Amino acid sequence: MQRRVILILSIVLCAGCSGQGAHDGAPGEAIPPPHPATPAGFALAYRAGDEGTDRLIARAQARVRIAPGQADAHVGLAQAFIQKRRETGDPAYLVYARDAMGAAQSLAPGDFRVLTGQIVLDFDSHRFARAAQLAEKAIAAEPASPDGYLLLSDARLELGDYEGAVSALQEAMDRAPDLRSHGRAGYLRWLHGDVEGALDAMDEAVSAGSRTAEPMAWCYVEIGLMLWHGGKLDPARRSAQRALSLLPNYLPALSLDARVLASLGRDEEAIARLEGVVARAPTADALLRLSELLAGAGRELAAGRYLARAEKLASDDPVPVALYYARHGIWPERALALAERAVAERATIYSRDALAMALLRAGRVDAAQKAMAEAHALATPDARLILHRALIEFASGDRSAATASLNAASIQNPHADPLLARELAALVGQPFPGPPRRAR
Amino acid sequence: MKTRQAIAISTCAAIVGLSAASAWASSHREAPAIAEDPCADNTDVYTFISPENPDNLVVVANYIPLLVPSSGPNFFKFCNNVAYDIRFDNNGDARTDIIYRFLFKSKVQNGDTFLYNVGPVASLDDPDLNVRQVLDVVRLDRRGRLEDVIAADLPVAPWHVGDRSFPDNSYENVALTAVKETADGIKIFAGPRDEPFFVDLHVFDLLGVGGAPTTDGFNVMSIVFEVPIDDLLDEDAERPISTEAKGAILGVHATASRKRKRILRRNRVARERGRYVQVSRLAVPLVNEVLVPLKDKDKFNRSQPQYDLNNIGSYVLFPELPGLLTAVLGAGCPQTPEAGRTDIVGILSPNGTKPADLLRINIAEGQTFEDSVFPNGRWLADDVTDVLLNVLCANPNLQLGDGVNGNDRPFSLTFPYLATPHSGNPIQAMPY
Repeated sequence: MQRRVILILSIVLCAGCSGQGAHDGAPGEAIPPPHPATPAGFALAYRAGDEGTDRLIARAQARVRIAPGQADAHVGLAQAFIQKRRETGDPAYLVYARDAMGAAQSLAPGDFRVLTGQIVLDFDSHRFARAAQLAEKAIAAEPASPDGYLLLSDARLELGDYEGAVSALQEAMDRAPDLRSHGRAGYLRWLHGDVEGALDAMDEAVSAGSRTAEPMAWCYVEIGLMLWHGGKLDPARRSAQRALSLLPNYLPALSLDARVLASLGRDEEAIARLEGVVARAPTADALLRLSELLAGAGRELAAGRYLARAEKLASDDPVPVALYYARHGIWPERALALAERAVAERATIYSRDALAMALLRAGRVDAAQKAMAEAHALATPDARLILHRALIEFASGDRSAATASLNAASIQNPHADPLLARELAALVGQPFPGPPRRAR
Repeated sequence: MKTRQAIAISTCAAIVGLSAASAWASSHREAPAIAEDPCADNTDVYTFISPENPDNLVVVANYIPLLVPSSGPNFFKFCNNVAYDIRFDNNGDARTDIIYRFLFKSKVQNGDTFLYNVGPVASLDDPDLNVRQVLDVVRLDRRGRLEDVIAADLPVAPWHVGDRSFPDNSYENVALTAVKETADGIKIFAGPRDEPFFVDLHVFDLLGVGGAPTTDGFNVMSIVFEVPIDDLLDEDAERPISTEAKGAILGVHATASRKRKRILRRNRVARERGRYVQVSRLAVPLVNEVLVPLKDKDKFNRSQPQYDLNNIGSYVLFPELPGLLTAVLGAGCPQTPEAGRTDIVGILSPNGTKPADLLRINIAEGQTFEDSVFPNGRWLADDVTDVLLNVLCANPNLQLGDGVNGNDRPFSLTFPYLATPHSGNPIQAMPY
């Protein structure tokens, strides 16, 4: 007798079923006990809302309930939480992601998607060396996929291995020239001083597009930062606004907007933006920028509070704190200790830059020059690096080089660092061309 | 044990408060890692003898799945930097012999506005239509070298923004002006259409119940291409008289490719010429979704049909699905025989052609539109989901189906065959 079966392809789930791993057994068999790898429910306990990424989370949760023995299901859930964290900036979602990832790992430790999911989490806890190792394992597991190479490129970038980052990204690009590889290519080109090529790559990234809003918003923030570094404030602001129109309250866009507003002299608005940012994702960099703005507006108490909070993060994120001390000429020993540790852990151009400044303030000009030369190895078009170099050139007695560097920095981005630009201008005896003097 | 410990720690962290988690607040670049390449994503390929002219073959290649307003920055157009190909194998060896390549360029008339159109649109060159796209069509030989320019700067039909933008039901009239017929009798249309695929999509989502017509109400970006069958044969070749001949079988597939680039530019050369890398590929419906396991999808998308036996042969011979259907739903699918499902391989290799994931259609003299029924080609209304389910789970006592048997809009027997796209999308801020 023929009968019509309403069919659900692949692994089934029905809305009314309670997931008990019931489908692990054949029809008629006693339901086996819950799979030992079922997470005790932390990631499943999250109550997903109705919108956007929460729907992704809800679907992923349902999948885990139905197929708790599938590592893939847990990875999907972890990824959904990671996506939510990216959009909102709220690191609490990573707690759920780690929970789901833990279950995935116990089920299939060498699995490609488990590896790549773990790498993303490692980035967030700054375990870049481990991330690089896992990325190599991921590549070995699936050499045809771009994912392992993308993440390897990211890890190497954070460790200061720029050549390695480029070669890994080229492998990724050769496999999938999509938003992810073009977006990263843009940054690497910018780092190496090719601004036109960088914007070209970002254009490709945007035009490649994405199904969800956040990767596009991220691209617009990257573009905006490059524009800000080029001193192009209005275009930078427009990029930030575009990102926000795609994803309102997107923290990186708010942070960029704040940066541009501060450069425009609109401090109160910049402060408001940064307060929004630090309320949700208080990075050392954002806290310190906010602190400076508040101090500039005469709000010393609030400035001090944010500074204190930033200092507490120094052990995880030493570079912004070390640089802050060095720029303000305070706590030279602390700055040096932090910067030395930063370079030891991650020898990027920015940690070397912080070290150079810290050495300068500690009176070790020769060492400062060496570190600064390393910071400039890629000819990165970041006016802040140029200003720092100018200070060191002045300290080493080369006034004309310092003047030339100050001018180069002003041409590159006159808004890069008014505090230091003013200090330098006074040192070399030039009028300070920048924004009005602040109270601090 | 390990998991319970991990959970205990996680829970602790949450209770202690966000400050612990805040210490992890990111200060690295956080570049996007999850793969999404919607505009280079094949959704479906159809091919059938033209109902208007039995000497012509029609191929429909659809891209960019599930275009709906509420899911973020939608792609209402083809992508500029993607090469969309329709590829033909005309001698049964599963190697591509002829490529028709579709290349799109979009232009924004007024960059100061994000709007797609700034007023009602009465024609394809209405000044109110802000975002426009044009298309070049070229023919390449089996080595990928340019053979012919079929058409250049053809307008692409615009998105059906809404009834105020296309008042008085004028959309379809405007869209149809994008149909082009060349002097050589080739017909081309590119633009949004009603999504013709009908299925309970929850099947791919691993979620949900059956019978839901989940692709109703969506649009898709469509390339509709009608070409004289004689153009698809080798020079000096003729359409076979016998339907049994190997040469009577044409293999069709569609791909999307992107240009790769050098990460660091040498000498700051302004325009980097990169080679294309194929990132998506589709022919027989559901093969990539159902037969190829997740871990091999990337590889499959980059592969060529002549290597399918090597790459995915085992997944076709020993499919996972029948066992799942039996275990989960008691569908009673017959066990896969020891030698594997050579019957499925047979369907993928008619008339002795090399087995491959190619949509194959018989183009012998005398074949007409009525003969184009999946798996001999694929007409828009063919219920491929049901056909494939019943092939995979060939239980003589059971008729399987996903409960969705037709599209929400009727198809036409005149070019471009697909139904007009759904309207009523609100005017969206374009991400450009």
